[in-house]
Amino acid sequence: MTDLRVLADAFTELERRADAATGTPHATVPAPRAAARLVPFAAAAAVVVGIAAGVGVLAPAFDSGSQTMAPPSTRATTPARTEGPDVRELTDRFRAALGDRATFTVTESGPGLGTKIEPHDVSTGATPPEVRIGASIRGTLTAGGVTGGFDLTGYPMAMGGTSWTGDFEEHTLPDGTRVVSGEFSARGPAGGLNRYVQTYRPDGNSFILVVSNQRSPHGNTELLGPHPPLTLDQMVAVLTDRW
Amino acid sequence: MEFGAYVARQRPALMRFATVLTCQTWLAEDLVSDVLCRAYERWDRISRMDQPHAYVRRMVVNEYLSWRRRLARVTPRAEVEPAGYGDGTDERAERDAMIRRLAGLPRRQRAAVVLRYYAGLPDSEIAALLGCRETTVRSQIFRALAALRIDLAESSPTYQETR
Repeated sequence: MTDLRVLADAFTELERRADAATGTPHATVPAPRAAARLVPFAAAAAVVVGIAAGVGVLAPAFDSGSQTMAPPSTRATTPARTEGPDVRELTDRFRAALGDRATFTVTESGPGLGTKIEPHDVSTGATPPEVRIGASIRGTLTAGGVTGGFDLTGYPMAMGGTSWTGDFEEHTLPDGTRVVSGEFSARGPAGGLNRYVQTYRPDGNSFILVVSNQRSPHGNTELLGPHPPLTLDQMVAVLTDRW
Repeated sequence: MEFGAYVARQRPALMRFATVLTCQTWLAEDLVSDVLCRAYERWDRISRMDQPHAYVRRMVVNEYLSWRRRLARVTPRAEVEPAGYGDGTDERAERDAMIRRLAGLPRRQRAAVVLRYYAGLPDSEIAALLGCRETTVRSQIFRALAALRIDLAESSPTYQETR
């Protein structure tokens, strides 16, 4: 038997996980932000409390060929809502896109990883929030004998309104797909490296793939290898070759 | 309070509450986003309440209790445990075991435990939230504590119940 102290510890740990997921410093009182900025990886990992900046975030929708955006709201107070495909579809597409490049195991998935509210100016209520729901999967991926963590999210989002920070390269493919890619340090005491590729397709859908040499690209997990299992070029190929 | 200001100020707290309730950050994010979306639709009315945050938190509980029913049909049961924190102390193992037991509770029992021991609500409010009698709340918590292997008699004075 144990006591309430352990239950309190469990609550504290769950709070810490919530803060880690939202990018909120643990044990600090969150202050209103003047502006939200979508930084690399934050789209899939962090909650964006979009205020006034018009950036913000969403979730996956998918399949450019079959998904359509929700029509604009007819009521000023009704959030526009777009729903994407389910986890199974995302997983199947990822497997097909990887081909023989790598194998992967999904350890966490859900419709909510990318579900966000995207208010252009929610502080004034001038624009109703937009909710986009899709699917995201996380897990481990092995390529060339190297294993690491991955996070894949797909959702409808246009390129405009996104502010990039850090050293990220951007280029446009002949079909109009814009590709942003770069590397950044994984969070946590173990160190590690995350590689990030995001595509913005002409149809308005976007896909984010993050591969890490930590067990989770979200950080605070152990190192699984000397480097992420896929190179940036391989990741770009995965997100553009067969999607 | 404007909706935007409310979101900016309270969303982290809602996320914490929802994560404690669901034991899954991704589900908590989805839950909170869904609830805020609906709260926005009726913010004129909610903002005039004495305690808008209490009302929104209640929406989270209600959504959770209904969400789980949908969730069970569409998502895998697999739960990702944070790995590699490294030192493997007994306290950490004990805490993680508690989280697993908490996650394994029936949803109404878990909600009752979270509302009493995390949110600090009296049984009367928990009963109102869950739509049951106080005696039912107490019996749910009694069973939950047994499943969590918590003996209130062993709790230190710091963690003794105050009610």
